[in-house]
Amino acid sequence: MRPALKLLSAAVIAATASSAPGLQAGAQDAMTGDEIIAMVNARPDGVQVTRNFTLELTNRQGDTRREETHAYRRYFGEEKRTIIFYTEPTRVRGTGFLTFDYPDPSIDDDQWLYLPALRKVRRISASDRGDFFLGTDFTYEEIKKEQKVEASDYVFTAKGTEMVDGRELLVVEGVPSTDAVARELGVSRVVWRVDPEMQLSRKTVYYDQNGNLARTVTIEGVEIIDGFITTTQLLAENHKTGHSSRISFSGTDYEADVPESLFSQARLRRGL
Amino acid sequence: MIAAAALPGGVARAASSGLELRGEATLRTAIEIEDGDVQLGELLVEPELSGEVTPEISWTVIGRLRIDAADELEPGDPGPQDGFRSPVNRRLFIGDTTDLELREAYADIYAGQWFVRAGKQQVVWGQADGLRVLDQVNPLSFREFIMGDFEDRRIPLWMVNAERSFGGVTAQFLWIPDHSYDEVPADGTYAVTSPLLRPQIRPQPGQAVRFAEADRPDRLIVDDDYGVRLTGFSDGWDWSVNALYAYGDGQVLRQARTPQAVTVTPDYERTLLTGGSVSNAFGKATVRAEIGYVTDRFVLTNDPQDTDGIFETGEASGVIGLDYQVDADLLVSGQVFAGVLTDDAPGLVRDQVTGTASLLVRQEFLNDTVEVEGLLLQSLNQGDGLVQLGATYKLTDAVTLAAGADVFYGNRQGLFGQFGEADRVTLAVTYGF
Repeated sequence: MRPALKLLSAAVIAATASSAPGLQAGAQDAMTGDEIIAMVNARPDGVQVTRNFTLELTNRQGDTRREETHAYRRYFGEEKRTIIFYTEPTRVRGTGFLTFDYPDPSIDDDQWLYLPALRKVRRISASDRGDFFLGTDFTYEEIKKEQKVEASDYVFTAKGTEMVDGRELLVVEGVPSTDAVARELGVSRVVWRVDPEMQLSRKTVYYDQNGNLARTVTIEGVEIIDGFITTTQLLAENHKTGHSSRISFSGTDYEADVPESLFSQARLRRGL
Repeated sequence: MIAAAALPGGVARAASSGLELRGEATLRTAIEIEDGDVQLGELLVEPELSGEVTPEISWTVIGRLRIDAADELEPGDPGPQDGFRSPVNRRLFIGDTTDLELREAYADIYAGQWFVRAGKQQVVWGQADGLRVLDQVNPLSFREFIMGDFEDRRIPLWMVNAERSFGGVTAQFLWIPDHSYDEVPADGTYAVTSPLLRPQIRPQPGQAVRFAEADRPDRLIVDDDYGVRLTGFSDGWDWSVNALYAYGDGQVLRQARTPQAVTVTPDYERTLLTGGSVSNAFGKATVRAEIGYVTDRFVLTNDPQDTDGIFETGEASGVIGLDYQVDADLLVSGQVFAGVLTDDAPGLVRDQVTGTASLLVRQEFLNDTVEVEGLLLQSLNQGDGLVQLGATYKLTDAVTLAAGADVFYGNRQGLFGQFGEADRVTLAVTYGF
């Protein structure tokens, strides 16, 4: 990070932290689970963003595949639209993914996939939110929520604090609010370790419906970019399969123009 | 390097700086199950070169080099097959086994609210997979019958493809001055023998049978094809309305009888295709449907009273498909196609109502590195069909291995059954660069 940006980052972090709910000195321990998650969900993420992300998919044997994408995201009111274009390797180049994420969690997302081999934009079902996103170890829910949490999905309990890598993190446990949510997300319990300064979970552990350890998602890099707390690298480890997926973001820009017309099937078909 | 660029008309695009060369090379073989003969021994190299002139104008050129050492699909020098293609859309043959083709060459131009793709390209309409109602803009190569990706089987055409959005509706306008049509091998493994497609001529004693050169449209503007499509998204439904004023891509095999000879002269007839498509997702299911009406369908007839062996009628057709995503890795997809001739007549070689059903099951394993699928195509009239099994393994980012089998079954007079002796297993390795 450039020095000037570091100074700005520190200022923004301080401003954000001091304005976040329940973060007055000495008051963090008193926050409830709902309040901690509300703080995470209050993290500003900009009306729009442009970024590249690189996916590194590593199997149990240590073999790594690498895929590169270019992505845009924009809010239309409370509705969030995302379009992702795969750029590498050649066999997936041109593949595109468009999603309209509606604020009402009871309404399924609308999703489209463009496959170059078909030269067609295909409507695809809103997969169960706990299904894995295009061969990765991240779920559709995680890709969509961008390190936020659908609060109505869980009943939260604050579990105190924990020191991780020199940071005091707030521990929150969530259990699905209904059996249907448990089935959709494929979890029985989730534990977040929330960094109150960054308003995001540094380490999130998922337990499957049988109560077994399933996955761990770790944020490996965070920066302040254009004034926004921005995850730059995160790792998902699937403890059942031994497979892991790392996403590294680059070229993140919250100020570049992201026109509304970009989020269309025509654009998905034409590509970058 | 990729950089985001804002373009006039409110369109953003990531522009590549400089030239970019990429592509794929595939080694592929097919062995016939019945006798172990090598049906295909192919090296396919498809380089793609692209670049940009300005942030608003970019270009792409895709070539194809094919060397098929087996030479069973288009045996010898298939030069006469150029008869299916316009002079500006022909393959260059080098000997019996090698051909070169300019697959695509187009410029993408953003101008105000317009997007224009001008040049040789593919345009795909409709929502159905494999069963074509609206996907009629580009003709097809039947070199391997219906096996292989449509991407590889479509014959790209020189055309101007202009798009503009009006609110939530995108309008597409096509002008296609390239008079190229379906390419059907006259000889070889997948040469057509079914009486549904090839007239069964029984000459009188002393009467010869002659095949004349195809009578192809060649007038600029007058014989060009034109298309319009409107697409939109309303209340969860994707929809399109399509119209294509074009020459049908299949030859009309008219007969002329004299006491001395029966002469078959292939020609092409103008048609108007109108129709539309819809799709929507409901939970784990996606529904897709398309319908179309063709004003002029030319059907072979064996009616002795019919002088040219062709019966002209309209045809309404449609496909409905249901995709069910069992989980993120397992897809089950079924489709039913039906076509209805608006008129019937004695002696027609096909039924007035025809149907085809398809069932696809696709399973992915190991974080999508392995994909296994099975596809069944079943004629509901002749009872014949095709089973395709395939598996692919992404060995590395650049290398993909594939294996498969294509098995035809049923009535040897049917569209699928006619190739009952061509059942095969296939192996392929693809390197992306």
